[in-house]
Amino acid sequence: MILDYSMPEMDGQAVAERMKRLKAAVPIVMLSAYVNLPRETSALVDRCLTKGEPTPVLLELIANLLRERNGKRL
Amino acid sequence: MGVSSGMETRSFKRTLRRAILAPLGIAAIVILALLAQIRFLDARTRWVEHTDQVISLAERIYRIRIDQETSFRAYLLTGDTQFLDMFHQRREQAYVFEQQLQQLVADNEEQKTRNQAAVSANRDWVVWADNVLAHGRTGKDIGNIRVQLQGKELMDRYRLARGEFITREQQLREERLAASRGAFRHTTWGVVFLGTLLAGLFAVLEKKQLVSLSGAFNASLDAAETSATDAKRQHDWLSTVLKSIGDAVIATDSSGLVVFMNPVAERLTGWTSGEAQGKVLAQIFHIMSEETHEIVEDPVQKVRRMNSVVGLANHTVLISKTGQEIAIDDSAAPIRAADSTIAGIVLVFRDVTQQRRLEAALRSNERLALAGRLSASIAHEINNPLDTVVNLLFLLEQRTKNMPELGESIARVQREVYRVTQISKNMLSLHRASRNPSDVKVSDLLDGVVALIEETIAKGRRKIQVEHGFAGTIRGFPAELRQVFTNVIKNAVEATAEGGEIRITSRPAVEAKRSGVRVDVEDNGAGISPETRARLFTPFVTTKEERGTGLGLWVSRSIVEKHRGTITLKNRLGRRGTTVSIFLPLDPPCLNYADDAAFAERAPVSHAQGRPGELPRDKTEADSSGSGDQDTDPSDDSFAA
Repeated sequence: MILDYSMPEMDGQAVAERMKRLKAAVPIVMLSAYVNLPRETSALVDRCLTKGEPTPVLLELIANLLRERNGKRL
Repeated sequence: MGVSSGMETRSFKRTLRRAILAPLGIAAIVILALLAQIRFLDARTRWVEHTDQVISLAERIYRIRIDQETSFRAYLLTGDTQFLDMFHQRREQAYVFEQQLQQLVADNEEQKTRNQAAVSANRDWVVWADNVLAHGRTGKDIGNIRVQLQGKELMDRYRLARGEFITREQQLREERLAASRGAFRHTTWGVVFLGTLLAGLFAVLEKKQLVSLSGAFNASLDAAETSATDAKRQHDWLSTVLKSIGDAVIATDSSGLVVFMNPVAERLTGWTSGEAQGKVLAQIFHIMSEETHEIVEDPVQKVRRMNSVVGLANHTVLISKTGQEIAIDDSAAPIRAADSTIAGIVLVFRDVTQQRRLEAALRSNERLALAGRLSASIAHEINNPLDTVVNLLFLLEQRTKNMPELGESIARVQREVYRVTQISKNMLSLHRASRNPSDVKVSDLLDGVVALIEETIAKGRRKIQVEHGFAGTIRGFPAELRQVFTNVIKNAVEATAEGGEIRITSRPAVEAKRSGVRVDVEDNGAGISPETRARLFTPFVTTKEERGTGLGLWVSRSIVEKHRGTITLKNRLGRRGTTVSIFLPLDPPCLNYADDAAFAERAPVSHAQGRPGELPRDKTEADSSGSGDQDTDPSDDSFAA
């Protein structure tokens, strides 16, 4: 799950909390234009990434996350 | 106190008056008594003299009468008329003397009678003698014994009468002499007695008076002493208060000449109280406007004009005797005499240099904070559209893999866009307060700072050598540590002349039983004098005059101390220049927040900032070709938890 932080009505923090409650196993990547996200947000989600990073960085991050998850499953 | 002192003085005067007047009165009475006594004595003496006079006169008369008789008898015997000359000649004289004597004894009836008896007896004899003479002239015998016996009888009667008179007078003389002697004796005793009495009275009275006088005198002396002591104590106290005041105080007389300065005023103006005494205030208290350096109105004139307490214009600087400028804040007030005329002016001022600097620093901090917030929001606004651009470019790149020319252009756009991303990120992180400590690789940190400094300040004209003797990481706040090394290395560069050398070495070290890293920054510049060195870590102390804020080393030390490290500064042994030595422990206690520890390990934000490949970011930023490398840099490790 890739989430933005700054959103109308409900911010990324609130969304991530609900999603973790529903399905904790789904990894969440917080992709925000803010560099310094609140601590509780970074603690809650699996990864944080600043917007504007080259696309391969995001792709590799996702790949790593999946690999990790598969490894755990094995 | 004043009233009692007045009373003392009055009582003292009264006693003094009594002490002088009483003896004077007694002395006057005694003198009067003595005078009376002396007058009495004098009268007695005069009586004696009078008696002497009477006796002497009576004896003269008697001798004359005897002479007359003798010469008359000689005539009777010889018949020679020559002998009658004496008898006739002395007759008149004897008569006059007898008249005088009668007057002298007029006051004494007894003697008067005796004198008259004597005179009458003599007259009888004279009558007889005249008869005899008359007979003689008629030729009768007058030389016979019968005649002579007649004359003798008459003369004897005279002798007896006069003798009685003289004897009585001599008796009187004896009596009067005795009386006079008695009077003299009385007077003598009187003098002795009165003198003794006077002395005794004096002694008694004076003793009493002197006791009360000395009491009154002592009391008035004590009162005077007490009031003098009180006045002095009060004066001392006031003077101590003025001297102890933390603000500078200068007082002038009505014409604006300095009469008093306290130690703070001496320190600020650079003039000693002695030097300033009697000088015109403007010479001692030389003030001007901080911004324009225009002369500010003389406070003496201003107080006179306003006739009340006046404050100085804002931002006034005092130029001390040594030419130092001190920002001051002051007020001037008239010193009013009892009749409310201006007797002088008192100036109170204080050094506000530090305060002004702090205000300035605060303002600049506020600006920084504002700049931080601004850049954060700007970066956010830039990052959002950039992300779209980056992703679209990626898609474009995927689709143009078989079009090499286009692919090349897209790769270039990607590099430039990446650069923009980095700039925006840096801009943000520069102003971001570090909240969480992370592992900092010292060599990367040093390389990054050196690269930035070489590019900006050193500009290749100074040689900076870095020797990494420590390859590990320490726990800390990277942004703050970067500031420490930036400050220290910048100082070293600025301390050296063109072509100077700076050597930076890191090595493992142990300090206070804690292992860590020591980084030495050596330069071959001018070095620092011991006096300056002692003050270097104080805020606002700078050797760079206009260019420095004087905050660098102070801030650096507080950061190092926050990391439980030490920073020392010493001159290089045997060589020119300075060495700044910084020790940082590997894992400083109390630096981590308990809940931060777990977070920091997996904090992607911090990692994104501190990725090894990215750390010399300043260098990357300056080096436009660096951006391309980032694309191929495997970033997996940095994201692996």
